[in-house]
Amino acid sequence: MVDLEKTFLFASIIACALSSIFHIYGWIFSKERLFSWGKGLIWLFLMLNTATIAARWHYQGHGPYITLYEVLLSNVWVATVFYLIFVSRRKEFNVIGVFAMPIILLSIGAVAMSPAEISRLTPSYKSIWLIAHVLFAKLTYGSILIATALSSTVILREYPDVEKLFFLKRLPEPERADLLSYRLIASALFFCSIMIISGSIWANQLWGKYWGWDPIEVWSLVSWLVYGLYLHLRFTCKFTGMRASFYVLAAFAVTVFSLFIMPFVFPTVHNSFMFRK
Amino acid sequence: MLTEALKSEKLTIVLFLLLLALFVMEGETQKVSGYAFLGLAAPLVLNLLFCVFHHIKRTKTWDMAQAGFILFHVAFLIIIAGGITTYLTYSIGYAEVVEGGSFTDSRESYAGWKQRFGTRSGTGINVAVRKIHLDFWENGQIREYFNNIVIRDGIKDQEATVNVNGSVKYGSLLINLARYYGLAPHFRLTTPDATNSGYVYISSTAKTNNFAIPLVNYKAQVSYRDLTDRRVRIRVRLNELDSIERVMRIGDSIDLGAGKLTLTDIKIWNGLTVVTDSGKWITYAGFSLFLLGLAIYYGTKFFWSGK
Repeated sequence: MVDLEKTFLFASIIACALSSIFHIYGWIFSKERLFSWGKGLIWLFLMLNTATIAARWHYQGHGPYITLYEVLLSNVWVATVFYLIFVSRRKEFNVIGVFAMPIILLSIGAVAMSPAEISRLTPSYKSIWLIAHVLFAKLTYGSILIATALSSTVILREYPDVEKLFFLKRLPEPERADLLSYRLIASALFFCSIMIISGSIWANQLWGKYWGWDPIEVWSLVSWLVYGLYLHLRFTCKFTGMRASFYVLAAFAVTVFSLFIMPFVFPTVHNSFMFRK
Repeated sequence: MLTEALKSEKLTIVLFLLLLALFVMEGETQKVSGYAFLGLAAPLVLNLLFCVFHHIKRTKTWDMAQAGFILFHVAFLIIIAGGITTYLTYSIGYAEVVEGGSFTDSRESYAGWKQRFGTRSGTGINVAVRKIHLDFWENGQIREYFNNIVIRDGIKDQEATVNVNGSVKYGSLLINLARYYGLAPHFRLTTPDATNSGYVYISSTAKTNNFAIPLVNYKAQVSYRDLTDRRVRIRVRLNELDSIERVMRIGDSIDLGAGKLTLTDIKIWNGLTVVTDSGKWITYAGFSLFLLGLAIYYGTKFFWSGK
């Protein structure tokens, strides 16, 4: 079963890599057929990713939310589903796959590099609040991933020589992309709030305190503040367009740093098993 | 002038940035004083109050979005109030208890105590640990862990189960598992003049502990290999040069010269915490209102407006 899981994982990496390449190549050189293959490969990638999760779930007996490997694996699944739902209703936004798929490829690459050791369900993980905590963390990740991809298109569309570089003209209208990015960040803040709140209720069940100043707790609040500030600026200072898009890119870097780098830097309760150094 | 400054949304941005900087510092160093957060909370609360008041005053027609907007900003104030209440009222007592043993909720009986303000002396209730259930997966991770306890308040006995994810409530107290456990060998020292006895708590992480033997003032180290062990290894330093090292089973004795040390029992122990926190429910109320306000505001703005 472990071998089957590995086979599915590496097949999914190949599918994701091909999808990214076809997306980028098809977009730059206006090869519609290649671009379509890139889109089709996302579905194959999702199927293989689902099969990887299913195989692991079957032999471990619990969902993918304990080790870093499992968390990243399920993050990738949620982000891909999120992306597919998003573009299924907005065909003109298919082109953001050029940015979203490489980020997903990096994430699935990180999965392959994480220790895939077997994890067992300890009593502390048997909590409905943990499930809510992890689920909303994934929804936050999915929302900001698409918002970041949309903001990247805004920046590229505002490029001074956009008329010369014809492939940039295929990007969605910057005003629409900016507005959608704003909506997704508002959703991300809502999901992130639920993630922090459910995590604090879970912490209270475990340790009798809802806030323990753990580095990951603090850094998740930093991410929350960064996106909260974006919404506040948007409300009070008409913070739109290029400035807002650059801010979203920087905010994404802060989030990735908070969630995936900090656990390796500081001792935290979150790395008791999940982030083994 | 001051009113104008306090109701400024630009000031909110500055305070937001300061709060962000403070959190980054705390995230980096873990040394930021609670007073720094309290110091920043004061202007933030004032700014929020003035902004909310100003927003209500200038709103001519009310709709759901406006209500949601006010609600999640007011919820911020409630969360800050809850956080400050917790900061001022939180106390935690840590007790190490062997299976079959008990402790009293009084400041003196705890092995560890933390309270920033106030002088909670304890309720005097007695908490007895009847059974410690600990089971492990084959890779050493905990499979099952809970305690059967009895709370005695002098009027009636209340039986309860403390789970890793489930506190036991008693009035305003919350009793939790502290997730520290191990073996506790019980020794009796007999000298020609007196007898003394007690447990030595060895944690499952270190599996060894140093202790001083009373009456004879020798230093000793005791260790075990596995939680199911019915024996311990002990090393007693008699002086700079001499020491005695033995593996002891229950009933075994060591002649220390100045006295006789006997291993009388080995029990499993675990840590329990007793917490008081008056701010928790205020914060939770703030959390709920915040989510409700945010959902109403952005829901109305983005999804239910028909645009």
